[in-house]
Amino acid sequence: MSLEVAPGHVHSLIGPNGAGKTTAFNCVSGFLKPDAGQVLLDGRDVTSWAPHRLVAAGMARTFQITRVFGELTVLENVALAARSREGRNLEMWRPAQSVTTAQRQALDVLTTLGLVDRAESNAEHLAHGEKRVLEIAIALALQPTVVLLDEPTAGMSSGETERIAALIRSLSARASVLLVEHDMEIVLGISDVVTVMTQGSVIASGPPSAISRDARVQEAYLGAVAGSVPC
Amino acid sequence: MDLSFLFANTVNGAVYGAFLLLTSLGLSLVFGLGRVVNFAHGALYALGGYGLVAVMQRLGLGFWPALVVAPLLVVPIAIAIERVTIQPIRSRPEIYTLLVTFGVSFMVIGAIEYVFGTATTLVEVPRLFAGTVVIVGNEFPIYRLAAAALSLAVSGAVFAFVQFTPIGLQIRAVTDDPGMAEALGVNTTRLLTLVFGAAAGLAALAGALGAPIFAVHPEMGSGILLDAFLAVILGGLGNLPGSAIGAFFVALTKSIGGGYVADWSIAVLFVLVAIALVFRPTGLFGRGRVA
Amino acid sequence: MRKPAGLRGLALPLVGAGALAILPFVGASPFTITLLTESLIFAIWAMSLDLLVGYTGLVSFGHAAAFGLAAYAAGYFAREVTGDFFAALLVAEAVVVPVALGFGFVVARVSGIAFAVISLCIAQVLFTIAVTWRAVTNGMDGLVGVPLPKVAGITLASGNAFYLLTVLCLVAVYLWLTRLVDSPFGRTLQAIRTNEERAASIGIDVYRHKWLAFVLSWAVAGLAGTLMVFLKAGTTPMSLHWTESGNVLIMTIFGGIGTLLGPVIGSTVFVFVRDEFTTRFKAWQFVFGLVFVVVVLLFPTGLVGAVNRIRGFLWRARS
Repeated sequence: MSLEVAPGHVHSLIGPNGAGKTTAFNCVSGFLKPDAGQVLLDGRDVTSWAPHRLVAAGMARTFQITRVFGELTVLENVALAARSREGRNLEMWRPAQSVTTAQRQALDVLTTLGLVDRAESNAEHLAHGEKRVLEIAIALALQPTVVLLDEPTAGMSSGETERIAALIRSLSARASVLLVEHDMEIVLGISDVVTVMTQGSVIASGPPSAISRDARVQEAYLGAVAGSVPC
Repeated sequence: MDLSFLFANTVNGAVYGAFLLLTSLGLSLVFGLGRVVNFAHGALYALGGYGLVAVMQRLGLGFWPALVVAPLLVVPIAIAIERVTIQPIRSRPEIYTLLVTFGVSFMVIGAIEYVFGTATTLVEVPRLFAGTVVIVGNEFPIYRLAAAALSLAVSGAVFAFVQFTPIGLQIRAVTDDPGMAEALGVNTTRLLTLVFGAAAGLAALAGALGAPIFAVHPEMGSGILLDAFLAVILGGLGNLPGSAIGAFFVALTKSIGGGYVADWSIAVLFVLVAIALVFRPTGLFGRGRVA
Repeated sequence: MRKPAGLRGLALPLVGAGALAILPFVGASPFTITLLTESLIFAIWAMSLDLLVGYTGLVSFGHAAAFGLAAYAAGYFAREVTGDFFAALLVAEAVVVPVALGFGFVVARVSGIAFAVISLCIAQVLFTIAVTWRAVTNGMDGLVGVPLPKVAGITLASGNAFYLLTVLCLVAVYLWLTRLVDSPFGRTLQAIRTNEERAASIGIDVYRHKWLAFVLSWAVAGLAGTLMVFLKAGTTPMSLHWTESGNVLIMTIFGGIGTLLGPVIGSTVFVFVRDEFTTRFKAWQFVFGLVFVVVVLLFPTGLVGAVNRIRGFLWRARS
């Protein structure tokens, strides 16, 4: 498969279950080694780079299953990422809280995302939707040029979903976004480009209007539904 | 190069390898099945040896009856251990079962020391296989070869059991994909308890069978436990044929290397395995996973 | 979430240190002082393990390796060259740190069970070397003839003097480690402990951090080993044995991993209980195993963890 995310775009990757979307994500973000092919970031070949190097190069991602650091507060979760971005991870003397630049950056991000009043709560006590927003906050604190969002609205109510959609749209002002999603409304509503995958390959790619009318896409989705065996 | 010396070492290595295999099989099965690393496996081996001694001394049984009884005594103890200390924490990270069995091994060895004392006990070779035989100019005790053959036979039976019986199929299924096996109706919890007990029985048998050769003392299990770890890691946890290769590799390296490089061969072995683990966490042959 | 160690954080260690320091002068028997010295040395050792286990999430089954290695290095140097404590310590660290760098290079690639087993192997290798390299280590008989320690030319002939040196070392290590775990580095370690993959995805170089934590943990254990070889005027291969690794593991877990204070309490309890027990009953190893099992099953957060839970419960009940 081949995919290109243009700067400042929201690019959605969709497809039936098992199409290979998360695998593609993992290959791009350094969690899986691709058997063949390349990953290019701003023209640089970053294939097989370790995740932490990719972050330093400007790539951030969220996960399908929420993985915030539950025992830390919301603020600390984001500050951790901010400090990491500043390259402060190996400092051993001053208390972490005293890295004020990171603390302020974290507060800024939380304010932008509307989570700042939960800053002192332990992350594990957040509602599911808030945790998903926190994941995005953590990704933002890494000051990425590309953000990979893996099913950001999974498990959310429709109100929360709308909020996230608006958030993602506004993200594209500072970074390019690659999005894996199942909610077609969101995908068609906020994307600049939609790429459709099925069984490991791309079958269509283009603006939302074209995709929603594409016969192959309809067949892939309907075919997947009609052909699925309950079990 | 003294060929006769090399030959003697090789044979002795193969003998130890047979015992190591019998001991390692249980370790490998239990991990493959339930991702449980049983640190108390060596203690159960020792318990087999002491069971033999106790049954022979206290009940007056002969060697061969005692050889059958001793493992049968160890199995219920092992099942109790599994039920009480391992089952409750299956849902916790794997390191916890390693920790808890670590504690259990102290308990078992401590109990052995308390009841039997810390001295080494020698067990007489059964009359059936007494005496020695000369092969290629080297004298070997007959029992050594007979016991090794018996170990191999039992190991072979275990292989066959796992490969050809319905329960063996269940074991292989759960090792391969526990979730799927559960969904298909396999009672994995009960299976693990059974296999854990059987594994302990095998280790106890090895300990009892080896008693006339290697003697019996409270720490007898520690050496073979570490070797079994090495064998199983090299072969891949959960991979039975791999364990066989691993067991003989470890045993022969120790035996042959030990003849020339003294005890440093053990150090070399550990280093090799550590490196193997790091670069191939699945073991050199295995489908099993360690990390 | 733990509060940062500010001035209030200094109160406990200073008061504790003061309390410990005056004990010899308020009538504690020389025997108690010796036992206490041993406890505090173990406390330093256990805190170093806590750094690995409680803060980085790497359970080592071979922590005796660092301890015993330092004991041999320091002891050998003290016997052959000079009993100056800090010189011996320097030599011990000069041995322990490169070895830790080497082993850590390999071991930091793994976690969980693989790490546990390899760490066990490392200790076993060192144990085998200690037993067989008779020329240097004197084999199973152990290293003997380590002289009394000297600090700045003054020989610490009395148990009390050495005890005070140990208290000083304990306080220094405790203060340093509490600072460390609150620093960005410490926070990063804890993130790694919580979820390695997630930590990597926020830009943390997990491998390098694990390697560093390993080396630091060995370095602190090196101090403990140096103190011990002077306390016992020697050492044996048993200081590298897996049972010794088991001892420090239980001290740390029993006290409470991830708390630093827990291991200090755990070691003191361990040493005193073991002493009480072995003088009266034969079945120490069995009881030790039983306690180990019970702690792992029922009190994985240890003493300090249990206390914290009770405190948290009371606090919530009040509000």
